[in-house]
Amino acid sequence: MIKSKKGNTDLLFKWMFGIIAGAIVLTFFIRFSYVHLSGESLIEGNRILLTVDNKLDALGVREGTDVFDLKDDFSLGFDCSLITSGDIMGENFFERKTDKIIFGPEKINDRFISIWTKKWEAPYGISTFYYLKDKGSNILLIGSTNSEEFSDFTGKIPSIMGVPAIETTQFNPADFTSQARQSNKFTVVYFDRTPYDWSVLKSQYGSFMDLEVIVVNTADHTAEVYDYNGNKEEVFYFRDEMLYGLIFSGSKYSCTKDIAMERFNVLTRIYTEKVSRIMSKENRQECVDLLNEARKMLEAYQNSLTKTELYNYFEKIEKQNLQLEREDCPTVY
Amino acid sequence: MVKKGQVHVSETILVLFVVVIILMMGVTIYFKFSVEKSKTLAEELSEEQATIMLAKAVGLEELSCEGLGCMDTSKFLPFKRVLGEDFGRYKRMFGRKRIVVKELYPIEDSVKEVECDVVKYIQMEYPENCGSWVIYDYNPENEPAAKVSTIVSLYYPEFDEYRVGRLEIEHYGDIRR
Repeated sequence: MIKSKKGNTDLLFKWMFGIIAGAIVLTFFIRFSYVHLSGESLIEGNRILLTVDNKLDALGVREGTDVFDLKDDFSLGFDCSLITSGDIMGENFFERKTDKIIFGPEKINDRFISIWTKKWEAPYGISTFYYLKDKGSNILLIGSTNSEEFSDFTGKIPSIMGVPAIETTQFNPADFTSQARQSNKFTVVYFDRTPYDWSVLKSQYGSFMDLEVIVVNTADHTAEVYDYNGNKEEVFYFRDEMLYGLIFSGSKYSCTKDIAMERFNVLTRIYTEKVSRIMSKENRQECVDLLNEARKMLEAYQNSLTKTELYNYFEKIEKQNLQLEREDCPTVY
Repeated sequence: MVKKGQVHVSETILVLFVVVIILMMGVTIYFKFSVEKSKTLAEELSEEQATIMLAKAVGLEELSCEGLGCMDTSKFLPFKRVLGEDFGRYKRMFGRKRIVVKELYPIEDSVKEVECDVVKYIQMEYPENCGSWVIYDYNPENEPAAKVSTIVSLYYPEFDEYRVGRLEIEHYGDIRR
């Protein structure tokens, strides 16, 4: 019997004490390790997002191109006003709000990201647009290479972005089957003519990737976007910078475009108030009159309801600004 | 009288107790160092972010001259109004910071720190009656600040005049937005 001997009671007590104390110490260490590791992971996850955000900020100061080397394969997401890393259902999912207007694929799973920044002016500077692309997302521009408009538009896309332009009559979907099947996202953009619609391309390329088709109507500044399910969405664009955005973001365009238009409204409000204030300081009546006209035009511009109105007011404000410059008056922008 | 067996148990408990205390102290100290390291990292990142923000703020469409690399003072008051109406948008852009623009030259010392507002603007003496604009200020936890600054060119379109100024960004060792 254990109880019968004093030495055995001693031993039993030591064991019990050892087990209880050991369990407490072990729990403490496990908890500590967990807190420490999750803290480290939180810092690391946010650091990646902050690094990407800071790099975009630094690049956005000027127009240009760059290739970000993330030093490892990361799964980055660009969802309207959020930058995310990791999978949304996974443990290592982090997100960071951003003020930047980023047009790109929804997900980028690559070490390298090609980035192009361009100022959006309408007619005064509104914002810098960021266009993103990785090697998993491929884009083809199909249009008439004889058209000056199409050649100008495609010619401005930096070669680093890897977006080829193909003559409509020479486009054969079969030539791009292997490229399409190796992509995560494959976007075909038609300008004014649609030789092969979404369903034809889908049957050619299969279901290996997200196929999107965009049909641009340049005369109307509108486009039809067919997403990876073939669902159609009609969108408009304001200036070429926004059309580039549509090409790089595809079916995710609308949300980013809305953010850009909100910013357009904010900037137009600032310019309207700026002109009002300058008017109060101006002594020359001819300048006051011109500034007053410009102020009214800016108010109308901000309240434009249609794209036609937007383009009309855009041209008028541009002309008014030139007139103010010629008369040696303070200008709108 | 204390028996020999009881002395053994007490010794064992004491030794284990001391060992556990030492281990816990070690872990606590390590944890504190770790937290300190994270704070230093956050401060470094905050400074890096503020420095990038300096370049960004000078070129920000809401504050800058059109393509001339200067800051348009006539946009400052309209911007403050927009900021008041939609603070969330700019909180996302600037985070926890204080952004101030100060005129350096030519300005009298007596008005250098006087903040320019709507009342000062409509006075005839403007821009000689004030020399500072608080563009943005968000520090909800009243944290101590570190400062980065750069010299900027200030443009007054009302008078078609350029002056020398300084853009200051105070940051609070925090990268949250």
